[in-house]
Amino acid sequence: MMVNIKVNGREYKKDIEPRMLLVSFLRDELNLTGTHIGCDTSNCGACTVLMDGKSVKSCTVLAAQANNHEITTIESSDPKLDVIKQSFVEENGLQCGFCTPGMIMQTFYILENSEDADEEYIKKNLRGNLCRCTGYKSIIDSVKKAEERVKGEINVSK
Amino acid sequence: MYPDKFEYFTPDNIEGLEELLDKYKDDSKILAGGHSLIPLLKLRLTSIPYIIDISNIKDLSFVDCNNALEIGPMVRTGEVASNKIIGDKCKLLADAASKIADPQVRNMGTVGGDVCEADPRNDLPAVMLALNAEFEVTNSKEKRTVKAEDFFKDAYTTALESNDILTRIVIKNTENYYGKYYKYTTLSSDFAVFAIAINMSLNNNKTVKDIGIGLTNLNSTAVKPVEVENYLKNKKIDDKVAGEAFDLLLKSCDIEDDINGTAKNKEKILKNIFINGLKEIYEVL
Ligand SMILES: Cc1cc2nc3c(=O)[nH]c(=O)nc-3n(C[C@H](O)[C@H](O)[C@H](O)COP(=O)(O)OP(=O)(O)OC[C@H]3O[C@@H](n4cnc5c(N)ncnc54)[C@H](O)[C@@H]3O)c2cc1C
Ligand code: FES
Ligand code: FES
Repeated sequence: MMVNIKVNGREYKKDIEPRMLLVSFLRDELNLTGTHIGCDTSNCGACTVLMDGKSVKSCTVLAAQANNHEITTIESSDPKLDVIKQSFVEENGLQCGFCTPGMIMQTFYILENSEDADEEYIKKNLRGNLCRCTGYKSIIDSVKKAEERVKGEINVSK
Repeated sequence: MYPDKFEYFTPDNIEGLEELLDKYKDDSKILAGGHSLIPLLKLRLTSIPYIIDISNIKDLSFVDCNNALEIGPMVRTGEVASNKIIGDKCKLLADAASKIADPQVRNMGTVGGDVCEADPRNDLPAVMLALNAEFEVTNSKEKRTVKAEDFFKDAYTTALESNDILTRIVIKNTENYYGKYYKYTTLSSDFAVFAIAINMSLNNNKTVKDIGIGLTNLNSTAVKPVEVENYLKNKKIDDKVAGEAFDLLLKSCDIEDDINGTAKNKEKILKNIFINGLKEIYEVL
């Protein structure tokens, strides 16, 4: 079937099998390999991307379901994502980095959807993202720092 | 992991959906958010030759409130949790929806899918039982209304035939009711070890006017313990009444030893959650 999916602002028309998963579409058809497959069973959130601004696990969405929708991935050049990435680097919000694309996309979703995310809110909303390395504290610190920056309270030093 | 091959359809109205379901019958299945169906397809626990995505059917996605609260099956559970009308009219449903899995799952999974899947661990079947919800069901030949208590037959089995479409969920018990969803989980899973939905209203003299209860994962399907509801009506809730209600509640439960604990231990936790929940809701009202 033909699909027309906008990814990071660019439209892609492709002929795919209906059973193709969105994560495979991104990785194998578009070569956007930033989106990771951690568990392939809807549990780890490493494959998190935004569909029309809402975070979803792309291993559990058919590319066909994304037809005529807009996808944002870790490769997006949205300046807010740069701020989040920088905050993860500074706060050591990653070790092996495997979960990080999903963590960052979910953080993006959190910051787009809440004025004032406190620690409890952040934890609740990162519930679908697992990390085998960090123990989460540094991830939560990274989200807080990104939030402060997005609100303009700290400047990004590049 | 890849599902088996299938053909994929996206009708944009209910008539188109009915036609496809009539044509492909048992070889077809509706796909709403896909968060029950796609994992099963990926694990090849099931294989469906014709998949019909209903997300383009606008008539299945709405939240209205006239006399009753009316919700389209395609409304995502994340929207159910945050929708203002639902939050105002039905605390129990909003609370339960906010406790489903995680934000990503709630951004895809739908209220209709959660109900129609009838996984004994799914949260919304018990909630619908507690709310005495009614389901409007349609197929190419007839329209009918099925009460929640007649809808859930067994694990993964509902009153729906293969050509039936859930088109509307109607909740009348909203005005003057207050309710909450008490979900007991372990850290390693989103699904409930068990959960209790309670929706209650009071008379002027502080006795229970009406109460609806639904139980998640305490039997092969969601259960409505009618005996407990009847027992509690016209009573004031204190420790003694709540304790007696719990003894009746156990008759509707089939609690076994499993990975989450011994039956005895789970029963103890259940008792605490049920009694404290009843009292909490009673106090709020
Ligand atoms: C990681 C993970 C964790 C989860 N945790 C929870 C949890 O804690 N609590 C919980 O309740 N659920 C949980 N779920 C299930 C999730 O909420 C599902 O999304 C939900 O059960 C089904 O909704 P869906 O729209 O995705 O349904 P789908 O998978 O699209 O459909 C499910 C079934 O319902 C049928 N169906 C759907 N809509 C209709 C309709 N309108 N008419 C007739 N038949 C219809 C389909 O044919 C299919 O058989 C979890 C899922 C995942 C992947
Ligand atoms: S790879 Fe999608 S949730 Fe783990
Ligand atoms: S940094 Fe290794 S899994 Fe999170």
